[in-house]
Amino acid sequence: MTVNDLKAYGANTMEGLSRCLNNDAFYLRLVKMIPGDQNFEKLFQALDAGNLDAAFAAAHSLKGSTGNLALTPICAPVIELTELLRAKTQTDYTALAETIRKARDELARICES
Amino acid sequence: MKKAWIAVVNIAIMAAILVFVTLYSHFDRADAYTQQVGNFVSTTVAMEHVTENYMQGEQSICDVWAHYINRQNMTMEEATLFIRESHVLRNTSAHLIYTDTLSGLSTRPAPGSTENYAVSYRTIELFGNLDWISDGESAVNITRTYTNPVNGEQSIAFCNFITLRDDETGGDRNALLLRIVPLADLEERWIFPQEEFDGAEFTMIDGEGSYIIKGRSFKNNNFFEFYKSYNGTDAAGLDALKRDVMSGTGSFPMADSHGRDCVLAHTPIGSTSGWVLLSFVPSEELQRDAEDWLLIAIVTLGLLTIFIIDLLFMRSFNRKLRQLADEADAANRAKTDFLSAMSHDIRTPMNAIMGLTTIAEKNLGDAESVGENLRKISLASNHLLTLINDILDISKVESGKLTLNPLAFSIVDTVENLVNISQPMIREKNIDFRFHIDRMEKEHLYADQLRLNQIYINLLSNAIKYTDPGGRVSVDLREEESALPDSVKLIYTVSDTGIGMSPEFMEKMYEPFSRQTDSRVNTIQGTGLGLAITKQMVGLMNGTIDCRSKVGEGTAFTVTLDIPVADRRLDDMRLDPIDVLIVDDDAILLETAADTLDSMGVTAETAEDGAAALDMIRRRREDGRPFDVVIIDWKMPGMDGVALARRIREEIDERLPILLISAYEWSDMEDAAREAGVNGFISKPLFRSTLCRKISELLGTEGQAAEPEDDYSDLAGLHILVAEDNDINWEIISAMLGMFGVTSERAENGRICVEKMTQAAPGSYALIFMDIQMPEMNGLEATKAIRALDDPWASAIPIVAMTADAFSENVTECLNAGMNGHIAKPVDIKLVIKEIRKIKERSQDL
Repeated sequence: MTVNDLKAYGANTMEGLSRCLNNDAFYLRLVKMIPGDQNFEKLFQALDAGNLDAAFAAAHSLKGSTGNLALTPICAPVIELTELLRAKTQTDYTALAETIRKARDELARICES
Repeated sequence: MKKAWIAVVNIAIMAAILVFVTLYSHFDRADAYTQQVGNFVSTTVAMEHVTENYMQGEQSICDVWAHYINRQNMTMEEATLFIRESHVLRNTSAHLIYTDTLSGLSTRPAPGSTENYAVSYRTIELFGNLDWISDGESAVNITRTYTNPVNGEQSIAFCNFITLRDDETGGDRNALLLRIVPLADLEERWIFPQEEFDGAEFTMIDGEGSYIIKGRSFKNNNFFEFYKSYNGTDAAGLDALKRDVMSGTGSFPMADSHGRDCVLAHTPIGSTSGWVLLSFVPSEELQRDAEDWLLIAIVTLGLLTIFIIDLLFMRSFNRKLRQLADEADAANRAKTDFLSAMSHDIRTPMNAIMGLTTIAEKNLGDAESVGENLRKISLASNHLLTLINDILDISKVESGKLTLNPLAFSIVDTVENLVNISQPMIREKNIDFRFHIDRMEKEHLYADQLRLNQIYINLLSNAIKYTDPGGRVSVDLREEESALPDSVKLIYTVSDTGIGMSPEFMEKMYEPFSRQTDSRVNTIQGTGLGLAITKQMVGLMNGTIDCRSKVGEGTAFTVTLDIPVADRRLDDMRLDPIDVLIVDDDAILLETAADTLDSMGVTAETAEDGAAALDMIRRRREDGRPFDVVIIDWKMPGMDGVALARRIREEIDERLPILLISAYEWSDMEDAAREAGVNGFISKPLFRSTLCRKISELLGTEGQAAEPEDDYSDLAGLHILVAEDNDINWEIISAMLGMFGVTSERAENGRICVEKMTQAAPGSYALIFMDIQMPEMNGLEATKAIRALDDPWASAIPIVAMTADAFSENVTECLNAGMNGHIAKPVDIKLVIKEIRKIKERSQDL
């Protein structure tokens, strides 16, 4: 995996790199940790169970980590989700959850390559 | 109590003391006098005893003689012989006379003869009556003073009856034996022993008062007559006197023949009934020396001195007290004024807010109206907040509680901040704003940046506020040599062409809430505290503030501060020796910018307007020495910067790098400028670093124009505890901190964080970065728990919150829980460093 791959994926690599002190290797190492983050599963499970509080906690955490690395495809929907959950909005989260899942899986694939 | 009273009381007391002293002295004298009189009397009595003893002695000699003569039944001749032989003293003699003839023999011859021993008393009125001579054992028979018929001396005689044999008749004849003592002898014995009784005299009087022995001063033959003649008295008085004198020992005053006051002492002579010894001395001899004037003088002087000293002291003390009272009064009044002004100023916006809220409530349906009202409320509350902050500042400064928190900062940043803040106001009022920086060599200084900011911004905003549209405001900032070591003198001047200030107002312009009451000014918002705070801050920083102003013409404020230079020094920024043209209608800017460029190794030329610039560029081009960079000011009369750039591009050179200077925000005209051919923007003030950076960027040379390496050596070795549940975030932050030499330890959640703190040795962590959202125990709870720990280091350790949202993770909540600061996520490492440094500074101050 290279930075360009991530750039193609849609991440804001410039921002992400700047947070990682412009160190490519460091950046990539961290990005690799994202797909394996437990919070994804926690989020999906909580949403399924309708446990908005737990979902919020998980979403918030993901927002932090993906935001730090500027992984926009994941980060953007997560942010949206977080705000909705913060307001405890009762709505159908399946669509958002799906988007997030897809983005994560895509990232996982890139990391493998 | 009036001041006069104390003086009166004092004087009264002094007078009383003086009177007392005088009286005492007087009475003392009188006492002493009485004592002396007593002494005199005692002496007299003593003399009396002496006299009595003497007389008795003499008499007894006579008695012995008489006895012997009687027993031996001597004749006159025999008796005379006998006595003659028994004379011991030279001066004494004896006469023997028959009582019937009153003549007989003397034991001593008449002077001038040796044979004539005859003596006769017939002519002397002495023995007319012999009743007074008694035979008794203790009787002393003395005659009065008379002239001795034998030698003519004044003498007295001690007498005794004797019986002499008369050979012619064969029977006994009665005779008198007289032992004669010259008066002179007697007087010799009568010398008052004491010196003070020098002028004293003795006298003996008999029962009638007639003198037996008469002292010189005693006149007449009878003492009482003497008394009567020189001391007026009536018969009754005289009788009383007689009785007094005869009856016992005593004394009384009388006048002598010279009219002098004298004291007469009398004491009866014990052995002879009726006889009294009188002694007599002028009173003045008994008087002690004159009044003790010395005592009185000294006492008076002493009292006066005390009085005067007290008075002076009291006066000066009172004066000081009155002064202090006046000052306290004035301060009190000032405080009251301040409070009333303050309460009015606070209530005004508060009322506005409340009113607007009410209106908004009433018009909830009308979103536009609500929005408008909210906007106004926002304005009012901001104003109120500013006011409250200002008031707090003022009261902090006045109560001496405002402390400066110096830190290393960049004056460049400060000034940029200054310009940015003023932009809106400047643009709104279309004011011609000029900013000059002169000789700013030291960029990093060490001072309380916040307060410095306050000062600079306050003066600048005042200038802008009070200048009408179309006017001009210029700011001048320059560095000069400072008298203090390792410091620079920062001179900041704001001058405007505004409404100016009257001299009357200038006198109290630094007072809180003073605003010039001018119809134009009343429409201008302000707290009225700005100058007051500014002055206080300048004072706190040991600087000076100076003001010159003329009504209708404008004002100029100058603040001079000596500020220490921060350790970090700018590396010398140098550029390649290129040719640069600066175009600006501001001659001063041209000079300073050219100066700065020169010092960076650049050759700088200047032009004051577009036309001149075009000329120069064209000519240089033709000469084959074209300019490398052209720096053009945007706002110029005639041809502005953008127009000039366009013309350069069109007429001379398409590729000549052009930098546009602007004191204004250029986002509006950026597009137009770029279109005209401008390559880059540089904002005033034209700092060295700014020029260097922008030019190098433009020319693409990184090389020597490197930003000075920030020195992070102060962070090396710091060890920080980070509470973060998210792995990725932890990786990032620990790596970031590691870059600067800071080591970190992780706590996966709040509970673990508290545990670590409980078990840690004091000083093991410099601070804690605490994430808020964590499982098990969140950041707020963890902070509260840590703050409640016993270990003083642990409970006081700085804790910085890492907040994701400024609103949800309420900043105030964090501070209430005991946190010292916060940084927002995603984490900007520069801010983190700043926060760490801030905490380090604070802890060093402690």
